Amino acid sequence: MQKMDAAVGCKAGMRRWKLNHIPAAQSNLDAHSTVDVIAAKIDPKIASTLMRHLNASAPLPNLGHVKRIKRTSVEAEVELCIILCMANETSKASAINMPEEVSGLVERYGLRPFKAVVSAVEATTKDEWESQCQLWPTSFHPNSCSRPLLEFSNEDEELVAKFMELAVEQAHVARAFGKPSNGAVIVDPSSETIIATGYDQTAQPKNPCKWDCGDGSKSTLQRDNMLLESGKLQVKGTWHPFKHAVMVAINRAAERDISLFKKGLNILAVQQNITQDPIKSEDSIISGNSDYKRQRIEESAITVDNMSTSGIETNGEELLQQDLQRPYLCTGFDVYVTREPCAMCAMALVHQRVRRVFYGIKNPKYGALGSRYKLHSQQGLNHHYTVIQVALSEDDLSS
Amino acid sequence: MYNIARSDMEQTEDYSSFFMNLALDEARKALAKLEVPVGCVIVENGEVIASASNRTNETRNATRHAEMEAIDMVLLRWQSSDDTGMVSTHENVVHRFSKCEIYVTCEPCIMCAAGLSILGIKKVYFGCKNERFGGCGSVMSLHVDGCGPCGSYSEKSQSTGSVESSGYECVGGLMAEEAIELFKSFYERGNPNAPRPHRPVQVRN
Ligand SMILES: [Zn+2]
Ligand SMILES: [Zn+2]
Repeated sequence: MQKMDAAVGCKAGMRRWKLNHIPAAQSNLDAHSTVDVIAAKIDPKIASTLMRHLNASAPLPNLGHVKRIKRTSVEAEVELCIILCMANETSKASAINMPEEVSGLVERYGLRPFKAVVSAVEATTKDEWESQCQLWPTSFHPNSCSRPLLEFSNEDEELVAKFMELAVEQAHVARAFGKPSNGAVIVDPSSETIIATGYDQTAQPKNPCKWDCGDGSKSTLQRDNMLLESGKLQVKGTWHPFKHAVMVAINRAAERDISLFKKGLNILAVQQNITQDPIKSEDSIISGNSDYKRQRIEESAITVDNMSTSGIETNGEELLQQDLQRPYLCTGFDVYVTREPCAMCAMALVHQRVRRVFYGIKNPKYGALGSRYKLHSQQGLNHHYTVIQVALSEDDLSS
Repeated sequence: MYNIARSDMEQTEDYSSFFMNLALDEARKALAKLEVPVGCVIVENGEVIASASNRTNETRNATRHAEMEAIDMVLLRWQSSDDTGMVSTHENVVHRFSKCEIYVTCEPCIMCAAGLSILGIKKVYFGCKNERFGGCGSVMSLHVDGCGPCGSYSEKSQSTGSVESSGYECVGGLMAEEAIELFKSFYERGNPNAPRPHRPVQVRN
């Protein structure tokens, strides 16, 4: 697939940056790329049994869009073919190599394997999909997460530029302190709220610094410079080899969550008999975790007790509203970062479930969102975000 | 306190399972707090210098994995002036971590595996594989590829050799069954001390 380009039509005076979508699919593949698989015609009676066995013993991790079973009608007779496994690329055209479990199944059900060709990537248009299905059926989701709509209105583009400006400002703060120039901003796009900001703190500062710019105000840099000059900024042992701008912003977003949404709020959800767990555990694969919920409820009850004895006035409705607004990690949030994230930062953003990552300058050496790796195209991960490059230049970060 | 003469014990199975047992103890603590049961210890010259477990729920921060917690403890200690080997630069950190091993009950995820490369750790021992997020062979191989800074990959930082990314030695499968048992307890029962849930819980194989 070609990179989608959209010129940023910023107002006069604002910087112009080009937006490039970094598609999740491998860049050397397009909708017409194919891969070889080994398939066999099967009796419909054993289809579901075989499906179960094969999904366990020969999963097709990069072919999520390909249907495992192909169904054709030949003179009113239904004929089913199933993909047994991937074809070994190194094997000769005539040879068929299969994992042991698969050859066991072939033997047991008397199958006659043959090589077949399927599309390597999900279709992006209906036309592509129709031509893919001539080979082997695939699924097509025009609006799926992996194929997001990438149309930016002028207002959207202005917002992107505005938030990226804030990240650039953070990078300037880092540079003013003699650190690598990189800045990040986490934004809630639904309300255009700045959730957290951060800049690179991987090196010991040249100048004494204490940073307090969580509000993301535009005057951060000026304010910090003023404080620095007036001697009001102090050393706080904050440098850390992991304090890449993204990691700093993520930590601050979590701190904000804890400070804004105190534990005690959750009791209201219980009183109103809301069944959905307001605090989800780390991973949705956790099942039957009602004990966890129960403990949280108990903790909440204790906190509410403390609140009432300490004389804090609580308005039930208001608290409930707040609780419903409580974010789950960074779900739905966008991140703006001036440089392409490394593998550590890119994976941290997966863990934290951000919606979109806008990054500036590419990092050919360690960049994990397009340059060295494409972490967002790893199929097995539990979360995938959309990646858009905002083509900054080194001059943007140094001027 | 857990000091063992290196010459006697290192490289032996007893030596590594001793530390992995400590990491498993940490994982059990996480389980009791209804956190994902992963624990780790960091060992410098045969001495445990940090032990920690996953705190993602408590912190509402899905990046607070056991490794991250333990690394922060170590750095805090090393950065304080009381510490004899005080570190003040990235090179210092890399130098000291090059003498450290980490024992973690589950294969480090891509994030932690990348982080361990940034620190220049000597060796990673892990228990069970992390098929979905593993960065030491399962999904990606950051112990081979290495990871470097995303803040500045400019010419300047490339000239300082020690900030370069480095791979590290990695040994998996150490007491993996014990680590998996803890995950099973977590997913099936939540908290072993809590009353049983009313809903029947599906047992997975
Ligand atoms: Zn990074
Ligand atoms: Zn991790």
